[in-house]
Parts: sequence; C-alpha cells; structure tokens
Amino acid sequence: MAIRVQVEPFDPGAEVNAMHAANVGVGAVVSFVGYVRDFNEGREVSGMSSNTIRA
Amino acid sequence: MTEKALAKIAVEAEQRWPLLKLEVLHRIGALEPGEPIVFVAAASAHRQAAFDACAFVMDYLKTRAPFWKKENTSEGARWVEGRDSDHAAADRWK
Repeated sequence: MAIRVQVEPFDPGAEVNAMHAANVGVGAVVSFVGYVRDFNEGREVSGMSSNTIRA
Repeated sequence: MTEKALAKIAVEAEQRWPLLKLEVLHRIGALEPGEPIVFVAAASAHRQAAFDACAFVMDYLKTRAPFWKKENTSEGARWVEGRDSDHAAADRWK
C-alpha cells in the first residue's frame, strides 16, 4: 500500500502501469483519476488550492 | 494527519478485499482546471475486488480524509463544501 500527498503533478498512465509492474499474479487493475473542473455549482472555476492538516 | 487518515482507509480496504497492491495519491497546493488532483488504484487477481476497493477508497476519501479546498471562481474565492451525495455513497459500504 502506498499513500502519497504531494505538491508535484503526476502522470496517471504511469501510475496505472506501475500497479502491474512485474507482478504477474495481478489479473486486474482498477483506477480512478479525479480532475479539477472548470465549473462548479453554477460558477466558472479558474483554479483551486487543496490543503491538508499536518500532524 | 491527512496521510494517516488515508492510510487508515487503505488498511480497511486491504482487510475487506484480497488486494495485491493499493495506491492513493492526492495533490495539494495550487491546481488549474484539467489537472489530475487525486488517483486511486487497486490491483487484485480478479476484477471485482479491484472495482469495489477502488470505489470504497474514493467514497471514504471524500468523506473522511481532511482535505480543504478553495476555488477561485468568476465571483471570487470560496471554500468547497462536502456534498450529501458523497455521504450517501460512503454509507453503502457500512
């Protein structure tokens, strides 16, 4: 299990490929990618910021 | 704290389904429309476990992981509120 919270962009395709890397016991990989929309609840969105609580 | 909350969700998924690999990735900081912000992937021997685990992790991430989001909109900045539909989605795994 890998948990990453990061500022850096990522490549969803590369992440999916890495799920299978060298493990021929894997018969299925299901992935979800969430993207920032340009529209939400009736307003245009030009950008956003996401933050966390650091322990 | 956010990493710990995500890890707790991932551990629960691994207890519920026979997963071979599970990845949860969330970006923080400034983001523009079109950018990937979150990635969840589950690998298993057979598809149903991977489908269910992936949906479960996203549903719980939306309701239990402490991320705070602020949007820059055409009418100024605003905080993004949680949705009732997110809680309804998470409730189906109880």
